[in-house]
Amino acid sequence: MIALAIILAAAAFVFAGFAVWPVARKQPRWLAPSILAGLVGVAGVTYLAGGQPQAPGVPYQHAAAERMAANPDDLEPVAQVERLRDMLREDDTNAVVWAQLGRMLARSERELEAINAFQRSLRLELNARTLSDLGQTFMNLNDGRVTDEARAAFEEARRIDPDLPEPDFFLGLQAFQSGDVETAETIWLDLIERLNDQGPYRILISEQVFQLLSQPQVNTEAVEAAAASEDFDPRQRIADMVQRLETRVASGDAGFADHLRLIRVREMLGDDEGGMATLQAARDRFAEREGAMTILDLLAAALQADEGQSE
Amino acid sequence: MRARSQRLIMVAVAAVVLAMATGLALIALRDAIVLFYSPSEVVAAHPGIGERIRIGGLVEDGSVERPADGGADFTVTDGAATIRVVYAGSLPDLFREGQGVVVEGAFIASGEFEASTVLAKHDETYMPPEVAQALRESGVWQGEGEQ
Amino acid sequence: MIAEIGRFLVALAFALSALQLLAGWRAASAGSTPAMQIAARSAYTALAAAVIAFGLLIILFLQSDFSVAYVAGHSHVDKPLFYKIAAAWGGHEGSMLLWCVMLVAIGAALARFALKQDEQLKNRAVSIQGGLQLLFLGFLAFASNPFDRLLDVPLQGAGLNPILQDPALAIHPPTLYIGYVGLSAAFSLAVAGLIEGRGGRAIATALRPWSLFAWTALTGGIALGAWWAYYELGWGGWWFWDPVENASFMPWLIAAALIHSAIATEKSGNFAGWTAFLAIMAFSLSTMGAFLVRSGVLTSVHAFALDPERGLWILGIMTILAGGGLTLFALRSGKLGNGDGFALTSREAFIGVNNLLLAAVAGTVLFGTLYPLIMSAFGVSGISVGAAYFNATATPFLAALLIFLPFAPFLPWKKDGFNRRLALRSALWILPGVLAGLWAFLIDASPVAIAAAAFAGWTLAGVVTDLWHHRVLQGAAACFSLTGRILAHAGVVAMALGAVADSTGRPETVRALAEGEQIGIPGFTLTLDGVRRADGRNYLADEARIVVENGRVSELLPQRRFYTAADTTTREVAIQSGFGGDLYVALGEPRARDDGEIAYEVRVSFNPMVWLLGLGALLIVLGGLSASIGRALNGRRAGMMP
Repeated sequence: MIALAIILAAAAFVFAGFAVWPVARKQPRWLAPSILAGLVGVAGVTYLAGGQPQAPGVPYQHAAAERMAANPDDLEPVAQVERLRDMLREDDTNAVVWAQLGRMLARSERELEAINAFQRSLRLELNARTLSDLGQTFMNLNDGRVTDEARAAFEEARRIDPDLPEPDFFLGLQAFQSGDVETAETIWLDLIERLNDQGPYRILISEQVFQLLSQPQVNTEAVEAAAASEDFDPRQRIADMVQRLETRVASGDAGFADHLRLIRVREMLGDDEGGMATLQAARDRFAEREGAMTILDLLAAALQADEGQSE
Repeated sequence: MRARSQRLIMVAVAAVVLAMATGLALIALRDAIVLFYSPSEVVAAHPGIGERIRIGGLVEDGSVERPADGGADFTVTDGAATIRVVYAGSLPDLFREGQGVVVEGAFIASGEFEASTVLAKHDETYMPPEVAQALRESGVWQGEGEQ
Repeated sequence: MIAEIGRFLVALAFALSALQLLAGWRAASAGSTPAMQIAARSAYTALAAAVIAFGLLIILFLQSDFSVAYVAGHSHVDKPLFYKIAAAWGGHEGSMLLWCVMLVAIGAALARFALKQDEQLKNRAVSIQGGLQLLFLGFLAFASNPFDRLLDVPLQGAGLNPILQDPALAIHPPTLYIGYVGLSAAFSLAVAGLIEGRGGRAIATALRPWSLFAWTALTGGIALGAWWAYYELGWGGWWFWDPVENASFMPWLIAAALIHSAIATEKSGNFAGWTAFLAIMAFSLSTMGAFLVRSGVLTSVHAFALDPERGLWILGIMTILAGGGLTLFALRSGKLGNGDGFALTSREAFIGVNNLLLAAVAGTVLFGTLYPLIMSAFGVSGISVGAAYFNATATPFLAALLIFLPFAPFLPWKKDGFNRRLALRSALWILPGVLAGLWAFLIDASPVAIAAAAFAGWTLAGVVTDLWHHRVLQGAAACFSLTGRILAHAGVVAMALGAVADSTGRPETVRALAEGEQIGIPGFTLTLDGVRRADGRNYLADEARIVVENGRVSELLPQRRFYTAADTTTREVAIQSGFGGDLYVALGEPRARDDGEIAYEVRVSFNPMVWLLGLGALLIVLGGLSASIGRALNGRRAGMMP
């Protein structure tokens, strides 16, 4: 601030002094000093009309250096993104940073930029995690659909690192979304069996798989057509569905997903006993399938906890 | 030549040029004026088929269709009314769903608006003044300023 | 700190301009030598302060100091170095600073070079220029300061718009501004002359070189802008008659009239009042062009309401310039003198016709441009005036200009000059005129365009005979002047022919093409061979390979780019230039067909003989420069001009 004041004063006097020099030693004596004072005064007032002498300049390099020195976790997400970009400005051949940047961007819903960052990272170094994140970003961009690009990314990720859980999960989801529930079921159950039961993923993925597989299979157009007709009765439709599932489970044709659906709909209808019975039936039927048993165990635990609460 | 008559000639020539310019301007203006409407004004005023007008508003989200052989169709809205626009040309790069747009063209027999030009600018701080005004009148836009 | 020094230097230049105004006035009124020295020194120091301030602004851009609002709004750390610098004048505040730098430079140049033989007039002009500086620096300092700060410093700048990152667009505003601001010298000299009661001849002599130089720069600036619009916007057009373009075209027309009428006034004192009037109007229209357009007022008066402070400043400056200038003109034009008079077929008469026609075009363009504003003042908002209006009004007058152009160089000043020799000579121009008209007829031009082409052919022949007839002129100065005239007139012919070719319409097709599919316009068949990714450093891109067949086979590679950080899509058009014209291909959005095939929108147009327009602009600029050199040499010999 003091330095600034000195510079400004010096500039003012040099410039204004040069301008009034022709009358500096002329009569009347007051003329030159008063013009000088007038100039400096007008300039000063004009400056102060909007000047902020106390505000320091913030060249980008300084701002970036400060960010670099800071603990990333203390920074806002936007600042973290800038911090990663700064690192890449220094060295854009660091695949890890590109991938980190991609993740930060994906989290703040800037998918296109995220995809670009992931692709930059992958061009430098193929990495299963990054491929999987790329695939998931493609999905986010497409309202959750596993598009061909996403699928290619997941397949490549699985090829590089078969132990990574996400690619398998999403490849299963891809089969599921295209209507191939059986393939989806196989992929997912294999995945759950492969996962270490100490890790966090097994439970997480089992829950997800249960949610997806137990979704009622609905023909949307038929429902809409039915809803439009006059004697539409939703209760009747649900009862019909339960009926169909029961017949199939009893006949032994039902797959794992059908069992899950029946359990879920019975629980929803408040038929706890029926639900437990179906659960038991499923346990008997899929005893040799470890993945299926994992899901059923979790389900049983959840149901019991639910009952404990409601009592 | 005398200065007087010389001056007279100059004034006469100037008057002729001025008259021609005024006449031409007025005739040309009649055909070249294009009125600006917001979608609700279009609904109220019913411009005739073939009459060249401009419509400004926001591109409705999810309304853009791109036919397989080129061109684009979309809906312009001001929150109160919507107009379906068909356009055979190439959409400008700044065209976005949910952003301001001004289309110039005329209604065709099918009731759609056939645009001959589509102007778009999607800058958060910028909105074509006419569009901003129309949207403000319909109460959609609460923005403060544009520059 | 740099920003604060910059702000202070702007304030200092503002204060020094006030001193320049006062001291210059006193020097002119009292003939005081110290006052004159102070006025000159004020102008020099104001120039130094403004130039340093502009340099500091560029440094702030190089540093990417986003605590400065203007830098944060118009730059980004990833912007290429050249465009960081160009961004210093890319936005409103920065371009205002550049405007002021140039205005102050003109002030210093007037003080240093102008009118060594008439110091009183010069001091008055320096004083008036100081007043202009005061107005614009005041606007800069109080209402558009590029050194305004942000207390909440953004992490990153917002100015990464790739469309604006273009060399033509980077140098277009400075060139245009040299033109706009150069006309301020003519304004100050004319106003000073009116105040001093000088004769028209003295005023015309004083302002001619400045006007010529400014008009040349204006031509270059407009041409660069049109060129940018042509290849960067991807629409294939180069002139759209939109308010921004009209705003630069009007001062150009008026300045063109001015440089011709000033010659007549200088030679024989004729048109003295008209010349002074044009000088006042030219800079007033420049100011309107640069400010009203930027403020968005021309499309809607509401822009005033949205930014009242700036609006009031602009309105105030406009009122002072045009209102003050014209009032002064009304009061004092009697002193300009009547001139020597001239005969009906003298050179003056033809220059008079030239001026009337140019003014008529400027008037109709002004009316069409302001019409929406006028109507919205009457409560009828939302009117726009289409290109049809401007084509219909401007074209006949511009074409008529060409009829009279070739005669003038053969006519004597004041006296009647239309004799048998000239009649015979002009008979020779008929054949090229007919040929050019025939050419226009064969390319399906409209009747007006055919007439324009015929006149252009006629004029071209006239320009060639002018060169032939006057080739024996003695002396370097005369040579440069003649060359300037020939080049500029030939440039006008080239532009006219280019506009005629353009008016026949550009064949254009837009279609979505899948790989292997074809699109055709007359004379060309284009096949989409394939689309590949061609990502660059900061963008993702699709690049189409399009095979062109027109007897020969060639390929074009238009791109469609997505700049991720700026979230902006641009198209890089591919242009194949030839004598007949440009084949212009732009790649649009992809779309999926029902069978899953991806089709890319391809826009193809053929722009006939665009090169004529570029050539025309180049010739006019070269002509203007050559005439300026001739003028300078002439002045040096006579010991009056720089």
